[in-house]
This record gives sequence, C-alpha cells and structure tokens, in this order.
Amino acid sequence: MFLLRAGCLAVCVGVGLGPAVAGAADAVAGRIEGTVRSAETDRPLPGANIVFLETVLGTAASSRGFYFLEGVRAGSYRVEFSHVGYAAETLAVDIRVGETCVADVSLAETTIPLSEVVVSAGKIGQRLAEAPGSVSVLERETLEERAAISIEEVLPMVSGVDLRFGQVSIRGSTGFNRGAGSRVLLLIDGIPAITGDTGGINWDALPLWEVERVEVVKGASSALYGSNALGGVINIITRAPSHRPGGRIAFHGGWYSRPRYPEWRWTSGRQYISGIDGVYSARARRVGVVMGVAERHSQGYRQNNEDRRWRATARVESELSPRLRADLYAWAAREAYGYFQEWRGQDYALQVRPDSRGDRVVSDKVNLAGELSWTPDARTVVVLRPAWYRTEWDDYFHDGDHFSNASRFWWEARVHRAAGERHTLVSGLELETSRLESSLFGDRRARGLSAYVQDEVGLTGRFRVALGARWDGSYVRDGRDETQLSPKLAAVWRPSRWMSLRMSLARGFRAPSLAERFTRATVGGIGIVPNPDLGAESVWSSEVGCLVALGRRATLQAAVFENRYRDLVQIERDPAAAAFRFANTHRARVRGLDLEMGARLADRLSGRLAYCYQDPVNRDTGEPLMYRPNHSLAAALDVEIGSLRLGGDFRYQSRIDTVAAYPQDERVPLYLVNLRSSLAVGSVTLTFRVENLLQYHFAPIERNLAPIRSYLAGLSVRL
Amino acid sequence: MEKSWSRTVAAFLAVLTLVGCRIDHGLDPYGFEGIEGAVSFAGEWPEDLEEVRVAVYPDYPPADFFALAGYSDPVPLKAAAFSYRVRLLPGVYAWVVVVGRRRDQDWIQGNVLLGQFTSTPGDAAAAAVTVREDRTTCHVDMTVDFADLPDPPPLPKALGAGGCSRRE
Repeated sequence: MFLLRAGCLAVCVGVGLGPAVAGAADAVAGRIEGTVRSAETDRPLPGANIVFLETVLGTAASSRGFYFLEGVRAGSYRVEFSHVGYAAETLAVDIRVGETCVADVSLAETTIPLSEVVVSAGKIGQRLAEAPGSVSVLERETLEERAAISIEEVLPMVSGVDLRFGQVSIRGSTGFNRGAGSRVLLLIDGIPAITGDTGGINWDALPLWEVERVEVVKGASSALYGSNALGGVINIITRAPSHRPGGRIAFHGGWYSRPRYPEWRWTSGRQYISGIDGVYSARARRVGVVMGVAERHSQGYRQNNEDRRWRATARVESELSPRLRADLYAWAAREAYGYFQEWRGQDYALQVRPDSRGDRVVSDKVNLAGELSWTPDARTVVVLRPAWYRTEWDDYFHDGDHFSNASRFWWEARVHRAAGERHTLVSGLELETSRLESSLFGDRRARGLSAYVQDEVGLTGRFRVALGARWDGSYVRDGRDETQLSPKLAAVWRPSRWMSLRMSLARGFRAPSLAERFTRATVGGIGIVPNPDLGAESVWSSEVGCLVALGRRATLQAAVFENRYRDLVQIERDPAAAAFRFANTHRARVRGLDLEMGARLADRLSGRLAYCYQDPVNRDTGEPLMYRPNHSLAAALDVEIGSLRLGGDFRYQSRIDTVAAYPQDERVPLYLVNLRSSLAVGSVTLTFRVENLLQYHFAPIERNLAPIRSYLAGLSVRL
Repeated sequence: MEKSWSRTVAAFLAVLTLVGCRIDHGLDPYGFEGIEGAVSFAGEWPEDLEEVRVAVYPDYPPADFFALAGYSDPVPLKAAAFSYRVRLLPGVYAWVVVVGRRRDQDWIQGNVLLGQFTSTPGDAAAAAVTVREDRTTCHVDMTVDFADLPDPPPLPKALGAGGCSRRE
C-alpha cells in the first residue's frame, strides 16, 4: 500500500513517470519535505530513509517522521522511501526553483528488509540487498526492546559476532588477545574509535540512548576502511537532532542474585547496579543538537570488581547553506573500576586472587570530531572529516603502577560521485598520526597515509559489481615501516525483488598497535620485551551469501565464508631475550556458515534467530584457534499485548577447544537465558529484566566467570 | 491468530521450563581433578624472594620454564606451611616443585628451585604423580629447607638454572 497525499505546494508526480534527469537543471534549487508514516497505524516512522536515486542526495526522517531536504537542484527525480519492516516505495517528483515540494508518504508493513538502507558496506547509503557484503543491522527498536544499557549486551544477537570481556570478534577473527589490538574496526558515525596505544575498543565510551542503529559488516573491509577492519566493521550510527525539542530521562536499578553455591558467596550483602541517562534534542532554524549524559555504577558480582562510569556526548548539526553542512561530534567518558585478574580458585570463583586484591584502573577518553559536507551538485558530495581521540589510563596494581596517554588524530577527505546512471564512485584520502607517552610502551610516534577508491557498477538493473582498492602506508618511529594494498571485488545479483545473491573476495590487514610493538614490562613475573620489527597481519576473506524474503513475514540472510590469515600476531617466547614478545607467529584459516533470520510469526509475535558455525584452524599446527567456539546460536522472541511487551533471549555457544593459559581448567559450553518486559503508559516506560535467569556459570576467558543472575528495573520518561 | 501466538508463547515457556529443569548450571566449586598437598618451610626465608608457587611439569627435565601443566596460588611469603591445590588434566606428571622468583626479576631470569616432590622425604630424585579422571591425588607433600635447596636440573636457562642465594 502506497499513499501519496496530494498536499503539494509544488508539483509531485506519482510513481512510474520514468527515470529522472538529475542535475539537468541549472544552479538554482528548491526544497522537498514531508512526513513518512505507517499505512496501517498512521504512526510516524522515525529514521525512515529518503534516497534520491542515481544521485548522492538523501536524508532521514526525524523522530516524528518528518523529513526535509534543501538545496535540491530543480529537476525531475525518483525518490525512494524505506524503513525497516516496511515495503519501500519509489516516487517521482519535480523540484521547482524556489518552491517546496511536499511529499507525505505512507509505507505498508512488511518484514521484507531487502530495501533497508545501510551505509557501512560502501561508505554510502545503499539498499541492504545491494550491499557488496554481509551486513547485519540492529535497529533502535531492537535496542529499546531489550532495555539495553550497553552496546555489548546486544551485539551477540548478530550471527558471527562474539564478545569476550569486551573484546569483539566477527567470524572468529579475534578470539581473545587481552585487549591488544582489535581485529574489528569500531566506528561511531563512520569515525574510527580505536585507541592510539593498544589499538583496542573502549565500549564504555559509547552512547546508547543516542544510537539510531548499529551496522555490522562481516568480513575483511580494509579496501575501504584500512587497518583493523580485518574481521569486519561495527558502525554505530547516532540519532540526528529531532525537529521538535524533546528529551528523555531514564533510571535503572537492580541487583545481582546471591551466588548459587555457598562456597562462592564472598559478601553478606547484595551487590547493586544503578544508572541514570539523559538525552535532549532540539533544532532551531538550521542548527540541531543532541546532548546526552550518563552515569553507571555497579558494585560488581565479583570481589574487587566495582565499576563506575560517566559519559557526556554532544552532536551538533548545522546547515550552513543548502549545499554545505557541518556536523560536530564530541564525547567524553571516565571509568574507574577494580581489576579482576583471575579467580582465587574454582572453589572461590567470585573472589580475586589475593595478591591482586585492590588492583584498579582509572581511564579517561575524549573524542572530538567534525564533518563538513558539501554538495556541489546532485551527483557529487565532498566530505571532510577530522577527528581527535585522546585516551588516558592509570593502572594501580599490586606489582606496580603504570600509565598511558595516547592521542590519535585522523583526517579524511572523501568524494562520492554518481557517474552516469551506472557508476557510484567513492574515493578518499586519510591521514593519521598517533602520539603516545607511557610507562609500559615508552614515548612513541606513528603516522599513516592512505588512499582508496571504489566503484559500484550497475551492469544491469539486477546485477551490480563493486571493485575497489586501498593503499595504506604506516611509518612508526623506531619501528618497521610498511605499505599494504587491500583490493576488493564483490558482485550482487537480484534475480527477483525477493532475493539477492552475492559473492565477495577482499583482502584485509591490521597494523600492530604501538603497545604490541613496544611493550616493555614485567607482569606477574613474566617479562615482555619490545619487538619493533613486528609486522602487519593480513587476511584474504571470501564469501558467498544470499538475502531472501521467505513470504511476507520472514527473511533469511545466509553466507558461507572462508578467511585465510597470515602472520597473525600473538605473544610468544623470544629465545634470544629469554622473555615474551608479540610476534607474527602463524597462519590460520576460519571457514564457516552464518545464518540470520527475522520473522513476524503473528501480528503481535516476532522472532529472531542467529546461528554461526565456524571451523577455526591454526594452519601451521593443525590445532583449533584459541577462544573460538564452533557453534554459536542466539534466539529471541517478543510478544506485544497492548502496551505490554514481553520477550526472551536464548544464547548457546559450544565449548571452546583451546585457551592460552590453564588448559587443564574445566571449560563448559554457554547456555544463557534472559527475560525482559516493558510497559508503556503515555510518556512513561517501565522495564524489568532478568539476565542469566538459569544462573548458569561460564568462563569466557580463563578463570573469569561471566556475570551471575541479575535483576534490573528501569523507568524512562519522555520529556 | 490470537491462538497462534499464544500457543507459540506457551511452547516457548514450556521449552524454557524444560531447559531450566534439565540443564546443569555449568561450572561449580565441587569438581576437581588434580593434586593437592602441603608444603612446609624450614629455615629462614631469603629476603630477595618475591613470589613462591607450586608448579607441575609433565616432563623431567622440562623443555623450558614455561612448559608447565599447572601451578598453584602464591604461597604467602614467610609462611611456615601452605596447603595447595593444582588443577590438572588426567595423566602422569614427572616433576612437582616449589619454585620462587627473585624480587624485581621475571620468572625466566629469576626463578629459584626451592623444593620438589620425592617418593620419600630426603630423596634426591624427583618422583612422578598420577592424576586419574575425576579424582584428586592427595598428599603430594613437600618440604622446603632454605638451608639445603635441591640441585636444579641439567638444563641451561631452565628451572633453577639461575642459582640461588642461600643463607648460611
């Protein structure tokens, strides 16, 4: 069902008037605006995508479903309106000089997500079904359904994504390497959020209430994103400022259950969890702002594991002119937590080893970023993006105190060009400098320079090819300089509107972090020495996959993949120095299958299923790779009863075959059940969650038990 | 349709209940496979010891210091006696030792062999211990005499090769 309301101040022409001639008009421009709503409920559809086909123009609907785009050159266009859970519709419009075209659109509900728009696979908005690789999307609704308080809670619902005490892995890329260098690139609004010293990810710095959606690109993505995108990319896209002033304030509080076994009880009282979040959004004329603050406190389910976090974020959007837009992003975070190195023994699994009791860490992060976007014509966008990321941490450990202060400056210049009706070109230059002062890593400097280009060619209406490459050069003072070339080839075929088939072959790499190159320390009596000659690790990543609509109520995304790694970085004995160091140690191969299915089982019942099988092998020894389970399954079911929503998640992971330390320790598979409920009454939403309902005990890494059962209640008020 | 989703929810809850009843709870404090025993210390503790543990090696002499199968919690410094447990996979372990680390040195450069498990107290030769499935091998007791430390194995840079600062 597609409804076009004829309230046009200018001229809006119905579907089927033929292709537009974008950019044919002269330099003068008009404006388009309107509202995107659900055809069934008439509710606005926040976040709906509005894309001018065969151009680089586009926008998204506000929280009230309103959208507008100014400075559109006069002419005829085809505009596609889409939203997850709704069938996309295309409308032909005429934009006239100095006039506003009003196009109100109603979209019909469907579970076919093939027209959902994603931005991370090609650094440009494109339909999910045409993305040159596997992309999974977690929408804001998914985050809100779960009443999640951190991104880490929801990421394992994506097939192939695993999180082990903060370290993320896509399709077995990372396993667990104790925070030294992430093999997954984390982006916030497309801007890298990788620390300058350890090359890791600080999850506590991420906004949650301000998140619009999370896109997960699986497989090597260095052809566009460079280092760290070895296993894939996670892009967290924040909300745009709303057109009407408003905000939200939310409180949550809860407690950890008593440990199941008396031997594990280490405190007589309850251990509590609490937090407060506030977000405010407004727009005045051409300037919009979103601001958020958050505070979290957990007394911890384990001894010496208390955790306090504070965070403030701001995003400012301004339309400097119809063709020029400037965005500013800023966030700052602080975390102070007790460090639980390892348990005292399995019979005292919630107590820390006595010698490390009192170990704690304080860390601060500041990120400032900007984006200047210039649209000289309907087919071209030029984007300039500088970003500065500062991280500081101090360890206060029983065997010595350490600090690290790192700054990372990143700069990107990018051009999007819709060349003719078939080509979409993305090209860019990146510059990066890192500066580090640390008691563990020394005083270090590093620089990087990169250039990339990718062309997506629509060979026919149903067959597209993406071809691209990126060159990266890295220069490390007192270290090894390297250059990398990362090509990519992908093809997407849509035999019908119900199905999309794709294949891709790409190379990825990760330059070692400054911490991996230069650590000199003795930790727990184990000496670690620098290895300035440490080189990059790389992968050839291939996959064949499909995205299929199963009737009108279910979709299936599936892929078989094989990733072949070389020179994987791992800590090893240095015979010359009689100590340990990071080294390029081995080759590996991870092949497998991942499936993701979403279904609306009935009007009020929806479900999601994610399964991944992987076979991770060290090609030099034939042994399984560490910390990679063979099977992972995540299932979710949600039901709506009026304004009450009930849901549950189940997660399973097979037992890990190999670990780095304590191979003799007992290891078990993971079975995790979470329940949740929410009740919306006017502008107030009440939530209640039970995590780890079955009180199942599992150690994701050696001698560290995952959280025991907890209860969490929340109250959210929309202002 | 109402019936359809209510049946699905009922089925989900039934499966959940079934899983909840039948599933075990994963790790627990009771299962233990390995060795346990007591270490007694005689003589005056050297001042330069920073860390002391019981370590278990599958081979004698070991290929290198870190070719170990498991080790205990740290022994409180200057303790007169210490009860330890080391979790191990089933198998035969050729060498069970008490090992120390000198202050401000790492385990490779600064390790000191303090004692080893022998079949009878006073023996010079190390004795193997066997761990059986789902069993704890008990009474793997050792004595450390700081005035009479055992000789390190004949392996350069291996355990104990760094020598020892004995107090006379």
